[in-house]
Amino acid sequence: MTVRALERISVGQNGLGAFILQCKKMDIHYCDQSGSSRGMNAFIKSQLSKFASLHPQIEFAVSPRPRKHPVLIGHYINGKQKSICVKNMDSLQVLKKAELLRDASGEKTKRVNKPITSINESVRGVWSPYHGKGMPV
Amino acid sequence: MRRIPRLRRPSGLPSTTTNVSRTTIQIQCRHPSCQRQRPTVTTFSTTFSPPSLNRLYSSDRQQTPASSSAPAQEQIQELQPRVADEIISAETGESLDWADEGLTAAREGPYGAPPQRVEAARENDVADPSYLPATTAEGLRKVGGLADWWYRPDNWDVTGDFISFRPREKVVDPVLIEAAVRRAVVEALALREVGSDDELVAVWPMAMSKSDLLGLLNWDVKGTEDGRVTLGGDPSAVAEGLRWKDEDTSAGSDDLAETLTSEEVSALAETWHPSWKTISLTDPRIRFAVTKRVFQLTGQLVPDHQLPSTTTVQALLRVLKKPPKSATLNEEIQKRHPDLLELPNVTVAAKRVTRGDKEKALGRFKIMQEEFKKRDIPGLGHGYARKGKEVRRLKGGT
Repeated sequence: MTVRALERISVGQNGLGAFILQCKKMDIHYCDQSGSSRGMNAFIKSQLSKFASLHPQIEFAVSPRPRKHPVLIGHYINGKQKSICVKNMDSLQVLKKAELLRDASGEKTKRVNKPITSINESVRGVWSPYHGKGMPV
Repeated sequence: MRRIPRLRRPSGLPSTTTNVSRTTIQIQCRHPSCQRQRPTVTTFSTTFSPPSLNRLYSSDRQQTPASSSAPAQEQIQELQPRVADEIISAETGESLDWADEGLTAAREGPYGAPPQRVEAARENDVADPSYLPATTAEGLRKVGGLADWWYRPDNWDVTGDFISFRPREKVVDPVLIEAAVRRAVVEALALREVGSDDELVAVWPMAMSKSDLLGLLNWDVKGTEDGRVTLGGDPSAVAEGLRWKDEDTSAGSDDLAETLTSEEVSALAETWHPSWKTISLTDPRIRFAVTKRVFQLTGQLVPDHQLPSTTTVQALLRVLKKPPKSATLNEEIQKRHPDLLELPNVTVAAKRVTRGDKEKALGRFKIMQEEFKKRDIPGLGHGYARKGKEVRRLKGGT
């Protein structure tokens, strides 16, 4: 019996291995009566079928919410959710918001001020004062 | 061409059915306290009065009016034993239903008027000298009564006798609508051609035999560029059929939707010359006659704001054939966007998805119910919870 090395638990490196869309579900709420839902209703009628067929990995739940503004709610695989009120928007603006939710990771938006972020270890290693020749002060 | 108008002229309820006469019976007081004071009366007689002279209250000065007509007297003779039976049955606690006793008035049309008012004898008319009439209602028994008369389905017909101008069911099949428009246009233009313009605004009879109707629709109607129309048939026969005859008022209707099928009409429509749709409707009298007739035949009404733009038959057809707007988005999706419903990753809910629905979808509601049961809490879901106290208070609750 051959000796097997301890298997390492895989680290998610999105984009390098299999790509998994972070958005798993999208709730689409509209109102039949209110004028603020006009664009949303048009989006559901004209653009949702194409958008949904392009993203079979996202579940779309369309349901009315009377006397409320229209809302898009994205649910993510990290358990978080993100909602956008799309009141008084036209159907193309609603589509943009749906794409925004689709592309979001579900994480909170953070300030990124470094040009490169990586989860890989540095090839140069971590600096240590006890190794190397040292530098005379 | 023979045309048989067989429908009655549309009208409201006939006034005769609203003449309602009522029956009330005054009987002797049976209360123990009354019994003590006054001896029981053994003889009983009833007196009838015509509806116009009915007393609505009792008074000593007022004498019982005598019956004025012979038929009323006959009715009294007939009803007296029945009323007596009624009161006896009331004493024994039996059923007091008028209908059981057969005490119903003649049915006039779809409405059965209540039976005539029956009154007890006056004190002076009673032979028994020990009789004393009751002075208070306490202890008196109620016999008969008309409180639930109109709740009984035997006494009235749901459909009534009202004949409306608009048909009961709207015709929505575009093929049948087109046939109705063609019929209306031909009839209106036939009247114009004959020269009886006054008939354009009158009520036209609807009934027509199927063969006549097919013959009329088969006319070679053509519209020319200079605005003239050739009907291709005998307009005088049509104009004659459009005259309302009150004597032909037998029941039965052969309207367009019942007599013609959409297959027959669509087969017929292929033979129609396309220029018939260019016939002008700019003349307001013709347009009114056509839209009125279409409304009578199909129940499709052209909205007022679209009337000025309906200058041709084509424009009229476009307005009438336009499918009605759906009330909800869900209905519209079900009707016109089946592609969205076929997608496996899309679910469309007809009603608002509540918290309870979400719990049920997860299968968590059953577990919650079990836990509620353990704690002796009613496990009815959030629907059990009352709305805010403020809401109840505003609606008059305490």
